[in-house]
Amino acid sequence: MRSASRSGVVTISNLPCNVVDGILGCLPLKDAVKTSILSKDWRYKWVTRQELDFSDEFFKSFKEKQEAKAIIYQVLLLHRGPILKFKLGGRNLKSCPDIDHWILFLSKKNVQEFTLYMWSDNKYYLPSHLFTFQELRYLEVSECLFHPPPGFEGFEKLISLDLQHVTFVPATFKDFILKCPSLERLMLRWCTDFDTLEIDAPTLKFFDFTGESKSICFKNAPMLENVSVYLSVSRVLPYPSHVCSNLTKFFHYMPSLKELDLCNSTLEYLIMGGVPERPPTALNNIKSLRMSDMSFRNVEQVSGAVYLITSCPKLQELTIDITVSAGNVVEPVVQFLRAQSISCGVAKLLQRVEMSYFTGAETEMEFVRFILASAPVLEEILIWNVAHHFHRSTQMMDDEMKLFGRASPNVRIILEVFTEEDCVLLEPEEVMD
Amino acid sequence: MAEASSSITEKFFLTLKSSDGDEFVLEESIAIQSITIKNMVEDGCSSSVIPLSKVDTETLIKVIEYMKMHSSTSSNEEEIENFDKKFVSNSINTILNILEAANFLDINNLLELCAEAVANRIKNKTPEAVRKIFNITSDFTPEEEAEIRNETPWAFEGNLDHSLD
Repeated sequence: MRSASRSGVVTISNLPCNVVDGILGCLPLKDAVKTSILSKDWRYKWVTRQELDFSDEFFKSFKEKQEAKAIIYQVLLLHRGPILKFKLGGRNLKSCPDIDHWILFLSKKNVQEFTLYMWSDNKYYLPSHLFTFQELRYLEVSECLFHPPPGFEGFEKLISLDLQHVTFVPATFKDFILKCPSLERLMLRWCTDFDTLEIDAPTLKFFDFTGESKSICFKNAPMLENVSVYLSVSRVLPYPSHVCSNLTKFFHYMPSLKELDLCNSTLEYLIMGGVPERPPTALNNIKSLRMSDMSFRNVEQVSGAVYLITSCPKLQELTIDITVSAGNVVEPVVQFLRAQSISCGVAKLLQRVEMSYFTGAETEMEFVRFILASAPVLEEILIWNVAHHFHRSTQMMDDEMKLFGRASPNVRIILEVFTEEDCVLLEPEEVMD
Repeated sequence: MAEASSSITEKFFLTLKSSDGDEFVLEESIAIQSITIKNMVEDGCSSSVIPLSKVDTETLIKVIEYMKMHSSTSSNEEEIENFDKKFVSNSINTILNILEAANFLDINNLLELCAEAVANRIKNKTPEAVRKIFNITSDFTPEEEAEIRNETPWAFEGNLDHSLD
């Protein structure tokens, strides 16, 4: 074959097929289908598109839901070859038998990534065909009923599972996970409540949980590096711990843990049964610790936070999102923190601390004093809030902090004041994430 | 000179030859953004001049500019972003040539950048405008064209752009 560039004319039509597929893949479905009219050459180029996205943008462009459905049928009918990525979801999408048909059709298309999100209250019952997708690597569903059929053989290649507002039988969930031998990422947000959530996943690297569970245990997670657990408070607190420490149970076996992200109620859950004198070995390699919605008026939470900070010998980054809680328990917290300050140099490798929604309250200032005294290689403390949420001027806080003893000679304290507008600007980005 | 210096920052150079016979000397660390060149280097085929028979001089200059900007050592993110923006404003024929070269040389980032640039010149345009921009001649009869429009009328709805930008 003669090289196109030699003859001097590269045209869009004589580019290699994979390049044309790449261009068509950058186009929204509608524009890709429109290319069918350009010339005979282009008549069926779009039909081998390996990615079909029927989500928000798609549904928004049709006034009638019926029309959108008819188009999905038509596109699937015209399509040739594998569909590696399939996405369906939108504000108008409600549970309906059509979705069963589409999923049945997709079961012969070697789908690797499947996303389905519904907006309705009546959850969509995922059909058994979905559980036959042997090539599946990414599965993301929300507002669905998730019941693998009895003969489910497993998702051999599944790497990432993301379930939001999904109903399943907790007792069978563990079984399901065991049948996904390649699973690396597991996200569960506001799904069925668990009594006990037990993680036994030899390949798991990333775990993110938001929801309700009376207890949680990382029984066997040798590869797990990144853990985020947001337990809902309503279920946690009424169940005080029994025989052994929740903390010991929680960190049972996760030797690879590097990043830990907890909310206030997870922290309270962990320390409820008391803390072991010898911290769990799972804390040994943590480099980054985040605690959110932490109340500096709650001595249990503050002591839990200090326990974790001082029990992670390799901790480098610490992030605390402060929440302003009711009550006025100041003295016990201040007393507790002052008692800690003698333990100089416990956070040996801590380099960076961020405290967001800092108000300048006495307890928070005392915590800064504790950090400054405990971290010999600390480089930076970043403290920020919206202007009118600071209880006192940044100048006053700055002056006071200058008087605190420092274990690190080179620490910078940065106080940032945001306006309401800054925060409005910040938020949409977070939502996009 | 290369033998005299034993420091770890020692630089290796490759010579790339375009289809027009022009030669360009480029640091190996920059050139191996091209997987095709990287494989040649690893197979030991890079001691002499590397002939790139599918890439003409004008295109190769652009590709080298791109690789220099995107080599990890020299530029910051903002610079790269601005460069890319300007880069895709090249004429469509230049972009198509680069696209073919990027495919041959296997430079994934460049391939994606140019595919996106081409797609942006198709997006939301009337078929007539797309034909003009890309120099495509329709070989359909008016009846055939009507049939295609009827088959997927939803794809042709809306306010489409006639411009040739």
